[in-house]
Amino acid sequence: MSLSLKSGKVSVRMSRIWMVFLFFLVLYTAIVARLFYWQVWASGKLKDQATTQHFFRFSLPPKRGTIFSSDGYPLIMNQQAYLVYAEPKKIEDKDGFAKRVSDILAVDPASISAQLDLPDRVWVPIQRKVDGEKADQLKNLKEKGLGFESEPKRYYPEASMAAHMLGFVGLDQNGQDRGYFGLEGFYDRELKGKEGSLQIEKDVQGNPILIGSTFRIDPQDGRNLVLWTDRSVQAIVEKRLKEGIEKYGAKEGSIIVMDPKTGGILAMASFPSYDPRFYTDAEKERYINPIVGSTYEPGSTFKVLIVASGIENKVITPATTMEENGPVEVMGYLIRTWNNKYNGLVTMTDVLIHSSNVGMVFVSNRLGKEKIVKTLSDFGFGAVTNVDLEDESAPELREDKEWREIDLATVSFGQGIAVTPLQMVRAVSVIANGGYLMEPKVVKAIKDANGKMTEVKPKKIRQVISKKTAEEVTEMMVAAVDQGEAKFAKPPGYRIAGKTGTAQIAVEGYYDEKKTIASFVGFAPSDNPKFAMLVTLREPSSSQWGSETAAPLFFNIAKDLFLYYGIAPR
Amino acid sequence: MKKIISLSTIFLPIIAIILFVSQIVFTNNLAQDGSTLKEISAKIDMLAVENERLNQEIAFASSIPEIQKKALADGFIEAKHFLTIAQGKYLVSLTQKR
Repeated sequence: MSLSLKSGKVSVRMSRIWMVFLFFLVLYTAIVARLFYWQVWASGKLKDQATTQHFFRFSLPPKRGTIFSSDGYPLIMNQQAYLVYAEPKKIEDKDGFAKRVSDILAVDPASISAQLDLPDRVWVPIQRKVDGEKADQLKNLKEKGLGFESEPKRYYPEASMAAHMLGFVGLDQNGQDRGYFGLEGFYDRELKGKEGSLQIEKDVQGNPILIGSTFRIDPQDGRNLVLWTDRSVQAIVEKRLKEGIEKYGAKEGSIIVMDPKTGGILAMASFPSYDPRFYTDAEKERYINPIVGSTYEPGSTFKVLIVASGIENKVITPATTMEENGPVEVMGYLIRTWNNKYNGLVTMTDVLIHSSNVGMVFVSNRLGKEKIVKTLSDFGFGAVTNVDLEDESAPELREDKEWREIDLATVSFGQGIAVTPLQMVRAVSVIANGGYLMEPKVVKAIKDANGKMTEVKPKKIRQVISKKTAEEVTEMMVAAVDQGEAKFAKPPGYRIAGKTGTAQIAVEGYYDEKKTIASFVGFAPSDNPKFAMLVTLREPSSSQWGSETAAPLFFNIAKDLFLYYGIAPR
Repeated sequence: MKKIISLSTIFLPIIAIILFVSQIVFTNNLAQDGSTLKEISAKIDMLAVENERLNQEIAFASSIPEIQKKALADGFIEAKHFLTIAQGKYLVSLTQKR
């Protein structure tokens, strides 16, 4: 009996010991878990909180890079501007404040008053990127509660020159500067640089500790861009294009000038355009550069490429003859010459001189579907050119099986195919460049903040035609200029290779005979080309023909360029 | 022992005073250096802003629209005709024997 009582007491004591042991074990585990939480799990957050309590952190903004023309003039640079803000708690007469400030900033005073009246607002931004002159006027008001913070703003010394090519700088969703369209968009990362930071230790009252630890990461300023574009050539092209659009009553117009040997873009202009300084005032459709982002049917300018393919594939020579006796029928459609006149026995050079659609159907038939489709992709159609501009698009070519006989016939004279002006001038540059297709480039070199220059080397894509073919087609194009419809406008003494084009515009699935895109593509001097150029005018009203509108405009610009480059006539 | 105590009573306050004075001098120098550094960096910032403004003025003055405006104001007109001397052809005066 006493033994069982004794053993019962022992077991109770043991269970109590175990309970205490378990209690301490649970307590110990809880402490370890809690310590693990603070020291491992939440350590990052705590470190951040401690850093925030101990340090001030300022961001040091980098300077956005400058864009220079090839002749060393800045096309876009930075200027000092200000963020104008208000501190409502320091302002006594809020309505008077809003009135005086809005008079200078040309904003609605009600919008400023409304922001100032919002409860619990200690800081109200009024306007960003205010220029120095206006900021000085505001400073002279000596308004209590009006503050200024410097911030850079883009400055355009040449005003709206090359707006489509350059693009503009706007704000992103976080209110940070960001480049949009053109070069500003494409090279945004290079131009904007890397933000730096400054971290200063502060005391318990929030004042900086002078001999406390300071961490500074210097900002890396954006890189500068040096373009292929020549400021003077750009100015010539823009001036002539404006005059041309007015003279020929066109709705729109574009000109691109390219160095055929390197692919460098010497000038690029389109009107109507916009002013990057006031980009918000322009319609959004204006932002897209039509030379790389819009398509058109090239019309007869395309004939030189099909003829080049015909010679390269040895299905024709410049002297090959054909009978041009009347319209030709393809799949029930009648294909005529542009003036419905037929010259009997003609050579392939005559086909280009007279811009004969019937002659081109002859070449197309000799080439056949496979060779034509290959020619198109070899010359770079159906794919982007990889130009260094943000807004490039590339119209797709038909699927191989979708090419009908009528499509092959019409494509031979540049109808039923959509191309961008850049694709077109690059393709014609192949003829000017001994048969090589180049990658077009706007930027020639990139210069970093330390002055280190990185050259962007010209890039050959492929050889499309042989040098011999290129020379033969060049001679045919020279003949087309010297004996063609536009010979009256050609500057005497110069050898210019070129071709006119007049493409009807498709409206709701049908071609409108009165609405045309007049164009001229060519290069000069033909023996050692300095430039290749494409001029397009949309719906010219003085004449629908390229020979009477785009061609004279091309020759006027060519005259200016000969003078500028010091190229003498023969 | 007494000698040691009397020496320490003389030298320790002197050392303390020297250290105290040098601390004041050092702190003062540090504050002055900080202030000079601040002035220099403020001047650098000001010069950078001034440089930027001057660059902008140069760019504006040498821009094509500005040059055009000044040329027109000074009475220049756009040339309509050019005389080009082609390769191999020289002015008569250059080809005549003297």
